[in-house]
Amino acid sequence: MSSKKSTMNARRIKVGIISMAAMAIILWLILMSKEIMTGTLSANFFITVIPLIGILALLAAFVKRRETSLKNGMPLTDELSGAIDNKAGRYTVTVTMWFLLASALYQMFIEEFALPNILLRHFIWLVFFLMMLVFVGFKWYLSRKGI
Amino acid sequence: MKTRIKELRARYGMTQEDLARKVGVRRETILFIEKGKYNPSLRLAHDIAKSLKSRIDDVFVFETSSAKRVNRRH
Repeated sequence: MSSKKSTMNARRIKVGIISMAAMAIILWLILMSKEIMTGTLSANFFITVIPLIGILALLAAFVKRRETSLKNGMPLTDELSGAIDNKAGRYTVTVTMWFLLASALYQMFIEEFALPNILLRHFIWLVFFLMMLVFVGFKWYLSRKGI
Repeated sequence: MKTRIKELRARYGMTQEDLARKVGVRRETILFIEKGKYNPSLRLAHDIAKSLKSRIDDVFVFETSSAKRVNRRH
């Protein structure tokens, strides 16, 4: 791949990541709008801030790592990184499916066992955060262990 | 599968980074291949062998037990 093409790809990835970060913030604001406008901030509101900060930090670290690779003249991705992403992605989908199944069972027994109810907007953030955490975790593990 | 990449790199005074740049992959990929943690694609194996001025079967050595299993099948 020529360096010009590599630079253009890096720029596209950077724009994509900035767009993702902006979308994450906007989505969070929309989901929390009711609580923000009424000023009644529940404990769950602050819990959702933590994943948002985590996601933004991960995206920033991703951009920094990519820029370092580009400066060193290394390709942004290659067959190994692609294979690691694929495997980590498959494991993430599996773990998320099991989590959703467990959540469905939890919902079924909320009334029976007087369990605390989780609001949908908080649950969405929880699933999003779980997927990010699991994907990053598996990617880190496979980068050490190999595939 | 074992590789002689490290030995051949030393012969030509190449670092992992030099070899990675030559074949168009990241340094970590060369490291993983050397450690036997990743089996490269045929294309990458060919490019590595070419960069090290060797044949593929001189660079990548399959274990004797695997070869025996293959011979038994045929």
